Amino acid sequence: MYRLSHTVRCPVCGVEFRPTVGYLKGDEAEVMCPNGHIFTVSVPNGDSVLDCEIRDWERFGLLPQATQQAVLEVIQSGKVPNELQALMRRLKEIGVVVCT
Amino acid sequence: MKLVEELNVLRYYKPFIEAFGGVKQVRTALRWSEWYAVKWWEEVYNDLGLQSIRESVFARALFISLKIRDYVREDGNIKKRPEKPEYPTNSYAMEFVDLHESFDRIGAVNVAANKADENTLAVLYSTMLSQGWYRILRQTFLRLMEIERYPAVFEPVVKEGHTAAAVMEITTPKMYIGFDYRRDNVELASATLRTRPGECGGGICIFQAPTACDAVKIARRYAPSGVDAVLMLHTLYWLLDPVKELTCISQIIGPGGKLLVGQQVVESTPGLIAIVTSFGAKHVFSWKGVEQILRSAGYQLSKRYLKYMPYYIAVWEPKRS
Repeated sequence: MYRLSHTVRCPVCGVEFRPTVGYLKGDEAEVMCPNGHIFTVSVPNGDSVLDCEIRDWERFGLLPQATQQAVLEVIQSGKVPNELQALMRRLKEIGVVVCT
Repeated sequence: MKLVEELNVLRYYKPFIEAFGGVKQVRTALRWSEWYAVKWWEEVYNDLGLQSIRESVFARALFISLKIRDYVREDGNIKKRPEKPEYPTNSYAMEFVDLHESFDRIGAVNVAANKADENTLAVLYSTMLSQGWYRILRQTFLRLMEIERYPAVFEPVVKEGHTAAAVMEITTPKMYIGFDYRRDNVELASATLRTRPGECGGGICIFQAPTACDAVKIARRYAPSGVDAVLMLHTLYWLLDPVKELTCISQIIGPGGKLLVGQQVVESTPGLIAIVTSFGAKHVFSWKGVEQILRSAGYQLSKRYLKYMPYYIAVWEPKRS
């Protein structure tokens, strides 16, 4: 559970507040405003993989087949599932994946 | 695997076995781990000799785990070779074997001689942590530990935040405090948990500290009355000085609090434990060694679930005088 760094507006009563987010469903989470109204907010992750490509195929080839497939799917879709965030960051850091 | 241990695995680790496609598939995967371990040890021994076990934790892990299985002699020579197993058909079991295959491509001798590219190993570590079989292993452990019973949790060596994220999938602890001695891990864990390093927003606190003793001093600010559980899933071998650091960790455990331990040991999967040591683990333990360390650090056993298969699992608590 953590508090978002930005404020959101409750669609029911209009109050602005910094919501506390619990379990995420994809990029969305249910939050409750101070007046008790529950609604869904978007919580995009900070990692974008738009316009990315594999640059170091030799190192990429060392990964297990299923992981290679998962990384290619991430690059195609532009969305990083939470469990692959760390791996994608590491791949970008060492230049296996390069994003423009 | 002894009969009692086998029965306990079925009793406590059923979801993992089922996801792996049953006992036969698990056994096939484990046989691959042994097969690779023997292959790697033979390569390391032929190239670097027996002294490699003094210079490399990876070589030591291979030697000890194979010696207790009677695959190698005291002098390091191979005593017997396992037959190459058939390839598993279950996708999680295949993932497990593929991890070994990937590691094999890096080269056991390169790893033992400290010549393997550190970044490539780091990527493979991230890969392992994100693989489906490892996710199930984590989930099974957390459910067995009934993690939802503990409102305030401290996780030493939080790594990339996968265990913390798995906890959040099961429950919403009031307070989750984690540290790592590596800056990159603190950043990755914070990103995974969508929080900021060094901040304590919304009950999740992830920060960098050189040792568990330093971390406990910081954690006390966030949880002055202590935490309900300390979560150590495959963490003991990352600690520089396990007895000293575990002693410090006991000081953050509040009244009635528990230490939840899951730890790969030399009696577990030999290939896998060797792989993990290559990622920077500082020690290899037997299951009895784990218990000796915990006792030396002032803990008493609350409940032991499994000794070594698929890994050591137990609940401990600080001995209060």
